[in-house]
Amino acid sequence: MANISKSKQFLVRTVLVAGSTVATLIGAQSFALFDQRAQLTPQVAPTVSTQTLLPVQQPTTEILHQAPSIIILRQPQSALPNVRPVVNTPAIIPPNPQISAPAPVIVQQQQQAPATSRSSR
Amino acid sequence: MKALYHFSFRAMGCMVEAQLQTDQDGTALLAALPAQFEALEAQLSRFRSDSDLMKLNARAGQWTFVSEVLYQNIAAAKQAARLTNGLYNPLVLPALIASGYDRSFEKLGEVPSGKVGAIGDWHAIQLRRQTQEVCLPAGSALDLGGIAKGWTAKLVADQLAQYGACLISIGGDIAVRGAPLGETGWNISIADPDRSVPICELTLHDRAVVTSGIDYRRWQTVDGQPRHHIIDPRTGQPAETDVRTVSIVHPHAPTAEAFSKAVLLLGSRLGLEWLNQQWDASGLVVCSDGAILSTSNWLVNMQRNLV
Repeated sequence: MANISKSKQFLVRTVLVAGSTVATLIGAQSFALFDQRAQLTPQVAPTVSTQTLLPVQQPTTEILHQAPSIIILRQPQSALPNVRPVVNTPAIIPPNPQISAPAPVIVQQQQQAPATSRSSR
Repeated sequence: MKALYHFSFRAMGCMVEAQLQTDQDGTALLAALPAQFEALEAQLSRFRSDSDLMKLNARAGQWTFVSEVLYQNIAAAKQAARLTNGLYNPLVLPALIASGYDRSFEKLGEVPSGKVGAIGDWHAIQLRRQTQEVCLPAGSALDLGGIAKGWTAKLVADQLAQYGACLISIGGDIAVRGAPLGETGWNISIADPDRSVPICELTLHDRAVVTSGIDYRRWQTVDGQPRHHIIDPRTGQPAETDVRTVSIVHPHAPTAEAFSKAVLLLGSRLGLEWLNQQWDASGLVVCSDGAILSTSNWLVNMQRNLV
């Protein structure tokens, strides 16, 4: 009796597993056929109803204001002082020759001394 | 209690200015600077025939052991060349000498014309970190005039920053660390080459501002040909440009120096457009026609516009 019961259980399990396997195979095949039909069938764009409740505004891509990458702080000058040094001899002497510099002194001060960035001299 | 110390002296062919706000012995800290600058010049100057740099130049084409200071400067120079795609090229010394700049500027004498100097390929500068050796391309010669001031400004600023907020200016190439008490940064003016009034004032902290130009170091050859000290490595001649001065703000002083050369060589428009593409860099240009242009991010640092 126990053996018959075990055999029955085994049979039931086998049927269940086999059945689900077959169902899976059939389902996969159906999806494959569906995909195949979809590729062959031309897609028809859905029509848009002309009865709209609100007017549709097309987005604009025109750039109205663009942050400039180069800023003009001062326009070209019409008259500039003559920056070329006057030459009387073949050699040009710099305006501030520093052959002998004053003795350096360390001082304490209340506020930062003015510092200026200029081309090296 | 913190005190603000100020010290000016002459070194590297220009005025050096140091400001330090500290509660330590500021006088002693700043008094040590002239000797430090002298030691650096002994290694880096092309105007001293016995400098480490000139000894290296004499051995171009051969592997040569160099000092740590010289090694770092050459590495910085090669990096600057890389960042500017060769617009900054440290191998311009033969061209500089051929154009007449063969001695310290205040000692320039008669300058012959018509000479052109060859410029080596910076890619061919070889470095060996482990043995601290350098090999320059054969026949080439190195000049560190376009990087050494920025490198030194960074070195000294980092050194002094251990003791407090500081500003170091080497001929107008400025590096700052921190800010004076009660301030958001150090106030720095940008000189106008055409006027006694500055162009603008900046407030900077932990930044560098470097100005390069063709407005000061200029001379003529015996037959009246104008010359200046910014060599265009593409031609071997002094640069032909509409830029009179260019000022660059950047976190790294040597990079600011290299960028200033690149912008000057590219010209005002192309140069500023190129600068706009570089990370964390801003610039201002004074053109030969008197116009002043800047990158848009220059305005962030600008405290006052005086033009």
